[in-house]
Amino acid sequence: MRTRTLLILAALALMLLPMDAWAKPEVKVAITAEKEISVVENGQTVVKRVAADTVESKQTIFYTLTVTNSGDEKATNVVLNNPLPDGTAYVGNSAFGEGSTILFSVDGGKHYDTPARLTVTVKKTDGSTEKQIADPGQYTDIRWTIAAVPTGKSLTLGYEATVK
Amino acid sequence: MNTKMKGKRSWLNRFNSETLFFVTVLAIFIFASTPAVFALTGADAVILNVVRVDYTDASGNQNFSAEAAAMVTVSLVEAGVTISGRPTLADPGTGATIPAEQTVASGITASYLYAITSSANGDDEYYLDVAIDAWANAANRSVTTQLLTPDELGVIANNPGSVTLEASVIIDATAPATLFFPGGTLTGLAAGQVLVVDGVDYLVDSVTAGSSASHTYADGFAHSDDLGTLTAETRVQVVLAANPSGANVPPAFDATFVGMSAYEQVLFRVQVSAEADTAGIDGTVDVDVRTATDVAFTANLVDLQDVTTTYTAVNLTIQKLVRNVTTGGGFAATANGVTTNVLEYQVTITNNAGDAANVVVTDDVPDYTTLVVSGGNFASYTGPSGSGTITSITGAENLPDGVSGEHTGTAAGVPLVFYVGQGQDGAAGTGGVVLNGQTFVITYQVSIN
Repeated sequence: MRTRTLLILAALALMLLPMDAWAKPEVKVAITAEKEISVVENGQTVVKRVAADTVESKQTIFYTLTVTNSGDEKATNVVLNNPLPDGTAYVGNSAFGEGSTILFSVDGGKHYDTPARLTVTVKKTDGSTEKQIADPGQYTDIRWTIAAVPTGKSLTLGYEATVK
Repeated sequence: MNTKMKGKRSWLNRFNSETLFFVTVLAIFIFASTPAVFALTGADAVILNVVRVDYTDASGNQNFSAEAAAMVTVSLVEAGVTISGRPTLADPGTGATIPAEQTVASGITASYLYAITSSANGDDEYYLDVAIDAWANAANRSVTTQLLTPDELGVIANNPGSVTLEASVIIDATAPATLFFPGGTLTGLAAGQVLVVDGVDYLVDSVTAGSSASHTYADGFAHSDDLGTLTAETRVQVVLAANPSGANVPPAFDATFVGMSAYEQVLFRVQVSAEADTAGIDGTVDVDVRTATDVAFTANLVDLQDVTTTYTAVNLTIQKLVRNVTTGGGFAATANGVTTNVLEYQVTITNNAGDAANVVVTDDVPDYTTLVVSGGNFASYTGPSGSGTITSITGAENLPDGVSGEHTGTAAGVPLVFYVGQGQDGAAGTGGVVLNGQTFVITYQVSIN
């Protein structure tokens, strides 16, 4: 009888084992928009970043993306796609992100590549066309690719965009 | 060595001169190439940034996604208005010539018509202040203002303290007449108003309101581990037409207009009236026209300074001469006569400046004489429009541009009253207007008792 009970308990324990297999990653992403303002503190003018609820034309918005894996398993093949907001222009060399590969698009996210390989077709005055390296202001999308985000890990990414 | 050095220095000098010349030319070119309008983003436009993360679990088989969004609103950049004259086909755009200072007759209202055009990146309230700040030899001064419809026929507001003008930045254009603006902008724009694009005034034919983009979640709470719903922006669509009361240029918009600003324009009339209160000396009234974006008139102040209106003083002269009709002779200051001689008096009214209104001449039958009345007529006149006779108590017989008159008897001392000029009305007892440069001559006869 005792042996039988033990067998049943063992079987139940085995049934519970797949619960470990239900573990999954849970990646959260947060985005903040900030702007820089000059304030006087102790007679000194210092530049501070504050939340950019409102901005003026030509002002720079500092976007910060925070990627956090709060799940109980690492996240893999993590890809963040961020279409550049309408009314803004990307500031060259401003994108960053630890442990990530950063690519850009000039065609609305159909194709991504490094800045040196991104080209746009320009029509010349004689009617002919030629390909030119895209200006950062012509970028339409940014993509960060991260191989893996371990459990409990947060990564900070970001870039700057100027309000047109 | 010296020669080489000299030559080298000479080359350097030439290089520096040439470089300076080309840099100057380049600078001028760049300056000249700068668009007349700034490509700003319209106030109240919403910059919506949505980032999406896609990932898999450790096995690489299970896919997950999440989104987050940030919204930033473009704020208003205030700027002073542009004040110009009213645009016309011959004098188009916001550079239309400011009305010249006027000289008018005393008592006449001088009217100045301005076009006020926004220059901000969004709708803003502009305070208006029009006041008389100096005057000389002028009485009964007043200044009034009006906001007018584009055709000048309708009054939107009398003596407005402020006006709100719309503005935004073009984000798309469809030939020939349709412009698109960020959703959420131009909320106060309506058909019949005027928008200035690239310096040309157009009449608003229709406006289709828009809305800003938004990103929400089904339960209404912000998430960072789930996908939300993106509602795309609905752009404001504005169809423009030629402004027949202004530049009257048909719209011909295309992609080159994207990035340009569109500014609302209103017509603003300033009316100044006064009377020159010193005979022979013109009166002046200085009016200060100011606008600003704050009620204290310190922010973005635009001041036309003093607009001077000159009121021409009336300079009316009157001359009385006499002659002896019985003995003959010309008119002179004096004449001689004996009993039963007939004397003829000539009263000449000349206006040398300004316009004289309500002109009434009163003369008495001289002592020791009796007024001569013939067929009911007791006097005659010559004016700018011809001659005529004057019958007592005839009322408006000589209207509109002559002289009427009345008398109550013929004896010495009886007053003779003459109502002179355009619009005179003897029956009502009111004189008329004697315009600058006009002369009226009245004659009547008496016999010596």
